[in-house]
Amino acid sequence: MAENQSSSQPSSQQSSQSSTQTHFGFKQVDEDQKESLVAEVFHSVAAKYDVMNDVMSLGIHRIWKRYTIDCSGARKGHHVLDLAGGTGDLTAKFSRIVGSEGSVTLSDINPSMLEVGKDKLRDMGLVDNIKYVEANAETLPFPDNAFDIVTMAFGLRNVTHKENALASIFRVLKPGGRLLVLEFSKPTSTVLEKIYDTYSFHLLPKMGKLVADDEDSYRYLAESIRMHPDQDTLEKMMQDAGFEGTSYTNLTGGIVALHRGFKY
Amino acid sequence: MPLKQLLSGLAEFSANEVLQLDSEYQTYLQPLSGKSLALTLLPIEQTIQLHFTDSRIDILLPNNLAGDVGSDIDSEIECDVDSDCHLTIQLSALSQLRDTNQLTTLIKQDKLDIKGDLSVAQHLSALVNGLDLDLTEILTHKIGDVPAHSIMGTASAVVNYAKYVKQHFDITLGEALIEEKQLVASPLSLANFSDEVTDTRYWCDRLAARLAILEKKQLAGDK
Ligand SMILES: C[S@@+](CC[C@H](N)C(=O)[O-])C[C@H]1O[C@@H](n2cnc3c(N)ncnc32)[C@H](O)[C@@H]1O
Repeated sequence: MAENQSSSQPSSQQSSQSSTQTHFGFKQVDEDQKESLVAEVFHSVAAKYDVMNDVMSLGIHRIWKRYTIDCSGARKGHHVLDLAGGTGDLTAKFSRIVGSEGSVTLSDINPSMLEVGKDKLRDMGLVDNIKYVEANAETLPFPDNAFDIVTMAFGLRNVTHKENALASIFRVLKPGGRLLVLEFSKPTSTVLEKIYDTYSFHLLPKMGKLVADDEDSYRYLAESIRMHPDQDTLEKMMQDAGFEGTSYTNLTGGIVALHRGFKY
Repeated sequence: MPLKQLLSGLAEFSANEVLQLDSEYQTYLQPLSGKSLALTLLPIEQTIQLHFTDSRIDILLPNNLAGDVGSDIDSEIECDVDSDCHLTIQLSALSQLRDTNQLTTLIKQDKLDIKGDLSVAQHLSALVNGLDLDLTEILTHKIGDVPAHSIMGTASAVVNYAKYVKQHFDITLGEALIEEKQLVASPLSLANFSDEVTDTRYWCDRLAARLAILEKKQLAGDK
């Protein structure tokens, strides 16, 4: 699998990668192990996920998500899949936009995250047009050409075989539909990258310990961000999966990027 | 950071907070529930989309790829705005939108264009005008009687002073343009100028008539 290598990464970890091994943060694990390890992480952070999201990103994740919605072209009657949707931040807004003629499917591999999302959305009074589906992004249980929009916010980096997930998304998108992938990426300036590294490898796990008493999960989050493909690599992966008109926008100096692609 | 999204987020937050301040807000929101309204501001060509439900308003900046400082924009996605009602309005006329009696005038002046379901715009106007917001009362609830009154007192003094400064500035600027820089004509010289234009037109007409007579005579002579 093509992965972005960054300068301060121990290169041995990448070079020792065998075909049955993948990375879990900076660790090498068996491919079939990664899914359950990721599941453990999100199971353990689920209850405090929203609070930690705000604390970790200083609330900026809301603006990144808002930008994603603005670029989605969502309208009344659309069918939207919020993949790896976790606690349903995007789902909430989509649900109000697509109205009763449309639908939003909040899908996640992790039942704990879905449960927190379900409770939150119900508390917001959003019930009618939302479906909850526990599913692995690599093998989506939906018919072909089912959705106008698929979004995946901060989910793709946790998937073991990203190319399978992209192919699966391509299949369930309607012709003319679009995929939006919001994910951590590679900062465009080296100064920013240094600051960001210090923050994510030193401060973030400490914050995780303080707020959620879960240093390891937040260390994994920081490491997995680092191991995720950079902007151009991800765009190329999307093209390989069949997406056309692909493009990306760097947000906050490339800390996060929004990739878009269409199925024609 | 996408600056526009930060602003639209703040606007959405404020709009919903303001709504909650009036206990009757749901009465006004109800007719708008499930509807959307797009507002394109000219000349900046920024479209803002409002989505209404019976409990809140969502504000979107559809497919807006501009405004990201330092962003790599590889391709423009077509701007697809699909709303029940679409208003296109000159920024300068925005404040007049609250008054529904002004709408026809604005349309005639080409400052406003309305497409789609007009009732959405009317209900929104009713919502904005109908909200009963007594700021002093709201502040009294939040921070107590005395601070609320002193804040409101200071605020209205500031507003009055700002109005006075603006008025003063307008007069000074007007005088400077006319008297000192002579960039703008005074009303008196404008009237003189227009009299002179009328006179010139009169003499031109007379000259044209005489020329026509002379031409006729010339033709008759030739024959
Ligand atoms: C960081 S959270 C993001 C949640 C939400 N989209 C947000 O932006 O707040 C990542 C989510 O991806 C989910 N996830 C991880 N691997 C997945 C997979 N293979 N298929 C579907 N979801 C997955 C996790 O369970 C988790 O809820």
